[in-house]
Amino acid sequence: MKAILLTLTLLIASLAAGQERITIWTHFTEVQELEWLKAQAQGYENDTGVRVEVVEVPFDDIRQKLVLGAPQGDAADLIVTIPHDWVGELAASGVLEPLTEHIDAASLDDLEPVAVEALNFEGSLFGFPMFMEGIALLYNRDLVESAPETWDEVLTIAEEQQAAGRFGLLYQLDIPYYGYGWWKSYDGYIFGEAQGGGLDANDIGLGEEAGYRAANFIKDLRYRYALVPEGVDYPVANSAFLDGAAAMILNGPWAVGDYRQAGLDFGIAPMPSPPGAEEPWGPMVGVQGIVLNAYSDRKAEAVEFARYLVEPGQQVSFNQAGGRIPVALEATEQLADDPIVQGFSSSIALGQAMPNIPEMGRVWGAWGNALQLVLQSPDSDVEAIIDDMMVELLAD
Amino acid sequence: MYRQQKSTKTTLVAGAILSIATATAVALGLLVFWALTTLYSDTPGYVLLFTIAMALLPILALAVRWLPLLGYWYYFLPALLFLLVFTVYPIFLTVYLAFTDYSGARSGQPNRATQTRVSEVDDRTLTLAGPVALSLRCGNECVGRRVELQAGSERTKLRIRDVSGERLELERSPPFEPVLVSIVNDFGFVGLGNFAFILRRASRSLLPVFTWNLVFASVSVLVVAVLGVLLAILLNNRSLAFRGLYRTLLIIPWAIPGVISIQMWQALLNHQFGSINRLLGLLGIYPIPWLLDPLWAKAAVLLVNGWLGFPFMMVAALGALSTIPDELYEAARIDGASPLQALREVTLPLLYPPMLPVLLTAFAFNFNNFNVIYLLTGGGPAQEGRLATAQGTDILISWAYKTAFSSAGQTAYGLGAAISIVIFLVTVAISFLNFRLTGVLKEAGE
Repeated sequence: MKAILLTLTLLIASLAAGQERITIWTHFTEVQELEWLKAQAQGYENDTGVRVEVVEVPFDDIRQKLVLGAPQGDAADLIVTIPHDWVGELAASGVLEPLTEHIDAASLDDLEPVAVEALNFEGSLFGFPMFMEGIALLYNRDLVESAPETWDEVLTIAEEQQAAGRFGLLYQLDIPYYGYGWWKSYDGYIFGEAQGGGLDANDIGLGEEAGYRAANFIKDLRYRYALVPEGVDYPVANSAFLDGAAAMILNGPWAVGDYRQAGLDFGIAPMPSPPGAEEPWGPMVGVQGIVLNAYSDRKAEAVEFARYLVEPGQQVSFNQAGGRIPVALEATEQLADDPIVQGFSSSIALGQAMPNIPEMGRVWGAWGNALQLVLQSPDSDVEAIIDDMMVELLAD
Repeated sequence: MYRQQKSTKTTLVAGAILSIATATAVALGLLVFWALTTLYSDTPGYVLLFTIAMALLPILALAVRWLPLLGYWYYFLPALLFLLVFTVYPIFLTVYLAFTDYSGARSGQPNRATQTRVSEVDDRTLTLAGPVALSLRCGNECVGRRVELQAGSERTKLRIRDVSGERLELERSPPFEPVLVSIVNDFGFVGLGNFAFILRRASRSLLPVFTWNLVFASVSVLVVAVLGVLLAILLNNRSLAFRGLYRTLLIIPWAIPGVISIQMWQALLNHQFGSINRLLGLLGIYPIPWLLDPLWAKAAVLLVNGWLGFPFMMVAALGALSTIPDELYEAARIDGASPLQALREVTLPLLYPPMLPVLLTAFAFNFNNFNVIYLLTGGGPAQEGRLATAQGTDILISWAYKTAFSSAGQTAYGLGAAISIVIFLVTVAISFLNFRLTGVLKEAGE
């Protein structure tokens, strides 16, 4: 009995002694990025004396662990990072702390405004943006001399490449994330602005003229221009570009590591607008941000560490570790010689932040579904399919 | 008769004593835990389990001294507790949630986007930094909703009684001086609302999915049964050389984890680049849109499920075959029966009774075989006139998953629970019908 009591006392004492530290969860799996984060934690501890413990949590588990664990006090103080489209749901679940109480909004002026905006939900800021991602046109420099600037140039290059037995332009056609740019070009949008700020879930702009034209264009990519054959999914497109069997691909910063490792010489540029489009093409921009657990007992220290991680100096070294596109304006300037940062930054500048309201979940399903139907046969009824999609999206 | 009464009575007494003992232990554990948390605010939650266990042990030891009969029950207690916590409780929770709108965004937690500073506290009345209806985003429906009050690490939830401009009157005065206030997203009963939601869309989701689910489960069972029994009969032939080797090779599909082999099949079945279409191409067959066409995708799902499932059936059939005595075949041979006649008149009739329960289990298993569908096709490809959650190869369980976790606000637990109940009722009805038609339960009862 005595031994048990002693163990219990020791257990509690050890827990009480650990109070001078903050815990962070991270989903970084790439070795350099993880090492970078651990080094920052160590450096911060040396500077301030606050211990920062880095815990690796699989990306897919973070959301649930946070929602269930935070109110029980079983979650980290900071999460590095979450994609901004989780913010709405997590804020409504009460686990994210609005930063308005902790920082001055003006103190984020040195960060990319689109990225800061993306982490707002219903008018409150919920995170420090850490890096951005969005797709762009990647082209193999050995095959394509310079980036195409119009759709006709894309077609010309593609035809030459196809004549040489290669693919011209590849991407998985039925994924809305990749197709969004066409919608944007034809003046479509996902959610309209709500009156008091934020997004209006009942104003969906994917249908009508914009929807017909964008969907028809995607169908043309397969059946009229014969660029992307059936069966091309992301792995196929990615490995074709990696092997030099495809001259161009629509892809994001996450793929760049593999291409560089394979010694591929490639350029990055925004995609030209499709034929007859009024607006420039632009990607759906994803922002990953550092968020604060609302139930944390050490918010002040956690906020300070988060702010430290998005300083230009840290952003530059983070980019050098994993190649992510920084959000600190000064870091982008400092990386002016980096073609990858510049290429993706120029594409992202044309884009729109991915909606962060929970209603987006429903849109992905119906939208992807409509694209699959459009692509299923050369004589699919595009207008009926898009109309059906809108009916499903707007039903109660 | 007398024995039965006595055993019922002792069961009740033992159950009552055990419940009282457990309740006392929980109360004691909670008390100790509470004392610990006031002493050390950082005490983790699992200490509670430990304190309860520590309280339970001496109580049980005393109880068995007083009533030795309880000793038997102690072996049973851990299993019973596990059953209560992990089976009975979730079932009740599911039924309860099915009638609520509980979801990620309506989970009884505060909406942090509404967090507002309290500028003045006067007993039950708080003055906020901005107009209440706007800051808390509750419009005209603020009265009656709950708010979370916060000051440092102190939190409490109270109901709003009245609102006027920037002032907010609570049901009672808070136990501490609040600094921040945010509105709570409470969930509530919606009656049959979730079921109405499902049934309104039945013609575009529930009905077609249910039909395909039935076809999928029965054809899968048919395929694996025919294949499994056929192979088992072949392998059972003693004059077959290397049959141990064949048996090992044929069990491989069962030995590889489905998660891996299904992904492998996905690559094999790719329209342009998959090996299967390339092989067919060598034979001059036009590439088949295995995973792209709703009808072919159904065939692909059945093919892969057959491949995954036949080894189990084969092993079961081999076991059943080994129980058929050799004398029967000998007698058949002496009576002049051909091998084919022996198969039809001896093997198959004797194989039927032991295989029947296996087949029914396989049906029930395949009816809810989420893995194959989700990993191979993700429920797709898209089919016209269907909801995005109920596509070409979606079965009930994958439809439920998509509806609750990817479509309706991503974490619609209430709706998900309602769908699970619908699936449960369907499965029970089919199993009941199955058992009645085949008379399995009757035979087992006799």
